[in-house]
Amino acid sequence: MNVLFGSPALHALVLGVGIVSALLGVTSYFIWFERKFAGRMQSRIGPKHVGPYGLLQPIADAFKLLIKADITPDTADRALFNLAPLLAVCVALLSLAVLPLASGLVIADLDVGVLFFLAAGALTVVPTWMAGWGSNNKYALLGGMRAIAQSVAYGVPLVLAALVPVILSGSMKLSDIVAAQAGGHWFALWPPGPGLGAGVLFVLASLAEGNRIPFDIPEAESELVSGISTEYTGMKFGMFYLGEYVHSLVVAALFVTLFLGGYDGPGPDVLALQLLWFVLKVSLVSVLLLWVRWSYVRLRSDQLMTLCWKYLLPSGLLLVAASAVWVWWTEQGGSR
Amino acid sequence: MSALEILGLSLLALFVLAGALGTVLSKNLVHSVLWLALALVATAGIYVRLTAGFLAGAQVLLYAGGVITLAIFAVMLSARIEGGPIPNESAKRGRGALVALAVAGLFGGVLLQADVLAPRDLPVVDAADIGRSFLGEYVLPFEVLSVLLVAAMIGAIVIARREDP
Amino acid sequence: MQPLLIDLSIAALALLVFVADLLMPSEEKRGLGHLASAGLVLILLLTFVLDMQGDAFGGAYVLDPLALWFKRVFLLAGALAALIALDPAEQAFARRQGEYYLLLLLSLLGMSILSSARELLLIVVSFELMSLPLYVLTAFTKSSKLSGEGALKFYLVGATSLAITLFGLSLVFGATGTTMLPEIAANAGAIRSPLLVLGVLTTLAGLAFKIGAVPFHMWVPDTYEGAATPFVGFLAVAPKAAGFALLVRLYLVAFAPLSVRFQPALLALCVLTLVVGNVLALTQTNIKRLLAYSGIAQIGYMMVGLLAQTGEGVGMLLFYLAAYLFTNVGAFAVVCAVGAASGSDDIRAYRGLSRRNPALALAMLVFLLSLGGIPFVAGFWAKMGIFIAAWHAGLHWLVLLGAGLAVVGVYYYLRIARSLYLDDPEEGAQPITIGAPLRLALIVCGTAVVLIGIWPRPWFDTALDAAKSFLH
Repeated sequence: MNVLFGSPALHALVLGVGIVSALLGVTSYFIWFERKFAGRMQSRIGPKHVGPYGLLQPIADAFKLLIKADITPDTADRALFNLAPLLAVCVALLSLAVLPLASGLVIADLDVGVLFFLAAGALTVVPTWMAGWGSNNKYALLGGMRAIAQSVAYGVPLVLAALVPVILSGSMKLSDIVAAQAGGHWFALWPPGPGLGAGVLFVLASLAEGNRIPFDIPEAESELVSGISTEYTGMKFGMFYLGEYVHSLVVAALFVTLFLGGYDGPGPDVLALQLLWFVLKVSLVSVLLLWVRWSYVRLRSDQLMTLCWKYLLPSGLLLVAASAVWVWWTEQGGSR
Repeated sequence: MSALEILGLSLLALFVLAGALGTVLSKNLVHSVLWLALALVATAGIYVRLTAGFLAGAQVLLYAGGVITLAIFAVMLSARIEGGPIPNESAKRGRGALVALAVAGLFGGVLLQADVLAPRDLPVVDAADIGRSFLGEYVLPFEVLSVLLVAAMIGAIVIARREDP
Repeated sequence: MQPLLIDLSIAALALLVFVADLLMPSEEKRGLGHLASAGLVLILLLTFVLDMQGDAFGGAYVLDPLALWFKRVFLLAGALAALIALDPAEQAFARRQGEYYLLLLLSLLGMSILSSARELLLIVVSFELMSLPLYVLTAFTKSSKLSGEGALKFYLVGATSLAITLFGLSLVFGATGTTMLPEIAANAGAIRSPLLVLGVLTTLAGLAFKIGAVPFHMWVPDTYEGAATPFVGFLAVAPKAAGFALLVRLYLVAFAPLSVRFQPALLALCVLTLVVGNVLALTQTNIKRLLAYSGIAQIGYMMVGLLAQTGEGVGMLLFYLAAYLFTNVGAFAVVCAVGAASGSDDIRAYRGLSRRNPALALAMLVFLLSLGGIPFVAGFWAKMGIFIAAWHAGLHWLVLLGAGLAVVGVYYYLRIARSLYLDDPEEGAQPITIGAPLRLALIVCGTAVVLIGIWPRPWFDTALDAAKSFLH
């Protein structure tokens, strides 16, 4: 394994702490950006009072969450209720471990990286459900149930979508997948069809697995008050909020890694430039996702299931088959 | 093995054990399911130590992601949905403990006798090897598995479908 | 590919039923039963016409005379089960008939592959392919609570036993480093690892659950009682036969060098099964439970054949299975007819059956005599053959014990037989009419039981042949 510091353990520790802290910082300003963005989309201005352009707003928000009363409902299952927010953030951060930010800049370049992030994604249901059940509140519980139904369903197309880059690159190691796309051979562009289709599928499925709009029925505020976070207050609520945003950033980063060539970009292969490309791409994708989020309406529960089982799943199977045929054809001597 | 490694392994073993015991002993069905999740994820950790990374990933994806989710579903759909824990009182704990101890003693004794504890280099089996053996050496079981899945799917539909009008 | 032809045909038949089920209007689903039954008979005939023996996939799959015998037993049991189910299925779950036959065929496919499997992974997968549809089929009559209860018990026990078997087999794999049975057989003698012994014993415990040997038998009576009767005949015969196919392949071939280690365990299982099965059958008042306990006892007799560990013993086991197939499927067919007419499986419903339907009573009498081992019906030669083989193998006291318990068996079988003819029917009992498919199945089973009883020679010869060519 490519190690920057003395031992793999030290390497993982230093990078892990660094990346997680950076990400948490980025996340709070991502939230600020989203509020500004949403404001503009709705002909508002967004936060502007705290600091210039409201730039200190995230800090004020965090402070507010910290000093708010921390309430645990009497009838709640205390252990589950209190553990859930913590786990939600941890699970959301897990996928970071295998994400290559630049050549060699990865916490643990596992051979089964793709599988790792799929597994980490599958774990997100556990905290969601702990919160839904532990709150002992019917809205929270309904939210939890919806989240699980959604997660079970969308886990399948997600795996299929992630399988396409694995087939095309012949590896489950994320750094290999990035290397296979080097020089602009991004999977979203080439081969035409399977790559782009799988990319779209991937984004849809991960948004649904992460319960983001337009798939946020688990906390549909017009029906379920606030879904699983109904009973949460103070920093515990904040952690759910944080987990959700971390998740959407991680999804964007993975999308970039799997389909948009990761840190690949024009210019010499220097670490700083690679990092720049990566951050640029992730930012662009994130903005795109925000755009979707603030433009589309929420799907109904049954529409969500129909979309998954009747459309996404079959197209996922088709895409996998198509990419397998593509690989076979190129190996048979077809032109690249 | 370095001290760090021993510590890590012992921790994993502790998690598996705690998860398993919690699953059986917890008086709250919901907690049982979560303890089970802990045991299953910790088992994946042991697979990692055994250089079976693919297996570990599959374990978390399928067990924590699939089996536990289904167990949660089963709990929520079968039990009343609000107000307090779902009791999960196991009967005959004494006898159960006796059997468990006896089995643990037997297997522990045999394992200690066998020379499996000697340190050895573990072969690294990656996903590509597993894939090749599925489509080579073990292609027949692999194909039969697909028939099995069809049977399971049809069976599940038969059982779950509403009774004929 | 040639050795796989039988299994491929079964798979093709299953597919055919599946597609036909989709295309057929729901009033005509009965035709699927005809299709399944006729298809299985056709495949059965195929096994006599074509010579397909050989192995495939590097020896992981083999079609030897032993596998062929078992496949014929499964095909026959499947064909009869489909035939018997024709009428009841149409009445009880008209719209789900297609799934019923499809699952039956898939289970059959699992058994058929299992009887040919010589590789651990294939064994496990085909074992599950056999078991899974059986759980669903047990739960098929959804209106009945007993059906659900029986299926749940069956499923829980089945899943647990699979876990135990898998654990045992994983130890075997760990100790020998191979999943191929021939290689395990070649290496097992040289490996001194206690892990191997532990694995072999654990696997035995798991398999004992599956064949319903005491003390792993608790699920059998409940499952039989709850499942739909036309299906129980199949459940009582085919999976048990598959279990024995596996036992023979594992314990008489692959693990044969370790026989000193597992022989005592097998012996204990056998004795317990014989005693408990026969004794508990005495007190049953429900015919399905009675046949369940009697079935447990029959398993005990078959295990005697296994314990002999000779070619003769295996041959007699094969013969026993064939005799047991006709007898038990036939007996459950009668139970099915009486149950449909009187709505009860209590043995009181059998009082004076001869006056309600003499043919049915005669058939039941033949099957009961065969189960009891009375000369000269099939069951007699089956028990006789097993005992002779065991005697030759030096298991004298086991033979004496078995013979003694057979007498106990005669008591509870003849108690019913007596009541068929000598007791008066219950008040208001109507004559029983049976449909053509059931009649055909009864005729086939009855004739076979009598024929084997009068002229067992060719059956003995073929069975011994099948076993000899296989145990060297």
